[in-house]
Amino acid sequence: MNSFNGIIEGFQVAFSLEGMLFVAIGVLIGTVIGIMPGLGPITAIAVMIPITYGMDATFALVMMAGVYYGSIFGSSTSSILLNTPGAASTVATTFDGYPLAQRGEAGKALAIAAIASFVGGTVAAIFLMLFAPILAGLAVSFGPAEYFALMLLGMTAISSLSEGSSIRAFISAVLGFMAVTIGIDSQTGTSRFTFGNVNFLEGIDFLVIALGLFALAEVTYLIINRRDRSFEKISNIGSIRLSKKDFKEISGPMSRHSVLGFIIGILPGAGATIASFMSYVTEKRLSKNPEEFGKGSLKGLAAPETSTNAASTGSFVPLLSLGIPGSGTTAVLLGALLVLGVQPGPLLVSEEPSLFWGVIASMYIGNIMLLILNLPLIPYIAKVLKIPRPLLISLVLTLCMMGVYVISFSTFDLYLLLFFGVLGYVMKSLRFPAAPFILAFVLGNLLEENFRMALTISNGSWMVFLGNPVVLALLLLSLLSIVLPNLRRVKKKI
Amino acid sequence: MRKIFILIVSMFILLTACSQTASTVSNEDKEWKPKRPIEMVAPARAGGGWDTFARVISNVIMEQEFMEQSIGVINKPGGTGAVGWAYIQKIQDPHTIFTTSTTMVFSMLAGNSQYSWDDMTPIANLAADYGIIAVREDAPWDSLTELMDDFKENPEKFTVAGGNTPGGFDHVQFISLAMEAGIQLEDISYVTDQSSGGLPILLNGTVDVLSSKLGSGVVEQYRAGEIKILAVLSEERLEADSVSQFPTAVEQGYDTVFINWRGVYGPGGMTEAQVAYYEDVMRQVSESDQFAAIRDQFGWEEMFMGSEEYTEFIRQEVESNSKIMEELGLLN
Repeated sequence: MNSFNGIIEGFQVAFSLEGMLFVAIGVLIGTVIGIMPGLGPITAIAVMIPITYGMDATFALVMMAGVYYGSIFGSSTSSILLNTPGAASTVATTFDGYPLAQRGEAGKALAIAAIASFVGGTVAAIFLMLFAPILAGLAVSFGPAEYFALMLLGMTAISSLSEGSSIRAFISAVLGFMAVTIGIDSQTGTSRFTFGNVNFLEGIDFLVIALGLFALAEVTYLIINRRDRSFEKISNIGSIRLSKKDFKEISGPMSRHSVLGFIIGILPGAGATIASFMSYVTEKRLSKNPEEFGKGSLKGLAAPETSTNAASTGSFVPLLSLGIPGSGTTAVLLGALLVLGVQPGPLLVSEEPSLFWGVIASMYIGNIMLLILNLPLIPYIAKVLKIPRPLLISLVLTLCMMGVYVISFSTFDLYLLLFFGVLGYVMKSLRFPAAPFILAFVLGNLLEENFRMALTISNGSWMVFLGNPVVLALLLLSLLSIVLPNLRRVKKKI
Repeated sequence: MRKIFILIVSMFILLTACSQTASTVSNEDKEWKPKRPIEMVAPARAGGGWDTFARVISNVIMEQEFMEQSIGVINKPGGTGAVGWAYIQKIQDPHTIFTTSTTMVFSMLAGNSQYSWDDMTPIANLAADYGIIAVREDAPWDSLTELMDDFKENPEKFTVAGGNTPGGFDHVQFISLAMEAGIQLEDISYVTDQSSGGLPILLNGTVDVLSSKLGSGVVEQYRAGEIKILAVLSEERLEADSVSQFPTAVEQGYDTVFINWRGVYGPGGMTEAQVAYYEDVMRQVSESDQFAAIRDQFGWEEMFMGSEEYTEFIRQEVESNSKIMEELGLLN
């Protein structure tokens, strides 16, 4: 019953005038920064750190959490409208969100993103409240072998992201793998493919690649094909109203991926980015019409959006109960917590119940505020598309560079951004899909690291992958997902 | 093709415009005082150790008004510090100082940077975080000696985890303990858990031993009854109530002390007056109640050293660590 009292205390904090005020400030700032192309949660939280100095720890954390999920909520906007993800976790949103906007259904796409985000965030907050005490155990239940198998399952989706030619998809994925091996190797400490350049030692930042391959490549494409008449209809926003049929279509993915996203979010080695990709490829596999994915499928938009928001809420489990961040963004958040004097750990729930439960309770209010804030604004935000093209393109270019620069403060990363922009354009012209590149880059590091960790721990015995039921199940699933589509094809031919 | 060319050229022009321009170097006086706001560089990302340290120090300086000029933190991440140090050395401005820790010595020994500890000016050390060796609560070993003896007998049974890559703090401290215990280097299997510092895989039983630091959240796990801390690698028992019960490695017969010190450095070629000015500011920070509270919060111990003492201390650190790095084949 202790936790029940804690929950009550939490609600008291969250529903107090100050509590509501700080949630409102947090989600507002988060959304505004998130909406800017190229800027995402990391920037939003980093901007807020100095402001929280000297604040009451509970309210500061309530506000920071609001900034965090608010910016994830908001960053889907630029992914959908401009193909410019503001955060790693909204890259998967571009896959179907941007085609929808190009079809003249930007309003609908934004509305789905907002609703899916709301559902993901709220369902995850409910789970967090119901199961918080046992979730810490789940967070540490995955060892290297399990992580490896999970990442492998994600990797098997490469062929499903192929847009026609699987050879092209695999080449793209290999390039992504190559890019992720750059930097100091985590298991031996030697530097790989850095060519003696210190700027490569810590590897290439995900955002540089995502903005280059997606945003810059798209902008270049638009500039070069600017006389193409077919782009004119893009400035149509369409209705933001969803039909009953639309709701029916997205309700399945929303319920599935609020659970999947939440679980992946809890795992400290995974986080929101991996959750969004996993959900996208899972939804595509489950779909009866996988060919619609990548061309503006409502399911393909709802799945990663729900998942990202559920995962970002789930990532508060390892953050608060272990003091372990699941991603770069939560690492910044952890830094902010320590500065505030909050010591995350297993005892936080019992020693500071009003803080722990207050933050969780505030997430309900935050998500409702976000929905109220975002839905009515969609027609205005979508007007971005009515900005004259030359102006819009310059704006996107500038904001992409800003987004990269405020994270690394390095001009070298700007050159890299340019390089990946050119690479993205070349790939696009030669019809190499960028999604497998991104997927391999996101999963590659964890795949390799955990594979080697697992084998080091088992003294080189491969039984580590076969002796464990969870690992075995995940490996079998991976195998099935490679074999089944091919079997179906063979069957069709017969 | 011309269009693409023009596009690329115009982007380059834009990028060049973003690049840094060289700053002026100020002239030296007997009594030096900063003439402009101070730039406190964290050669790492926002949220990391160097960044947090830079932010708390700047915060104390601003709130207690230890400087007439204001002080602001900027991040120069990359190359485990190398990018930031290159920036410091390029502008060579006494208004630009930076935060550092043990990691700097390891990174420089590994050859990540073209600069070494001698190229820059130690100003003051402010705090220390000590290395620890931990096992799960239900593990059969109750002391470091028991653990090391068992390790020596059955090395194939053991895996050690840490948060740093080989050649980093967590790795090197365990190696140096193991070498003292007479364990063969090739018998040690060490894994790096970069994202979570090794704690989850210790808790779930994947690995047996965690090599980490006191300030990395292990104390909370100890208080919750999840882990045992077999040794703190400090010279003497720590004084704070929350950590005084942990035995040191020294009292268990191992002559290994591993300190993750945190201090402030300036660029090369600082005058004595400039060093003295900053040293004085940092001493005031270290002695303030506000910083004492911060130390407690982060699990750091008090460890103030002025420039001269700090320089000598770094020299010893380099000496003892380069031996281990050489054994490991990671010295560059």
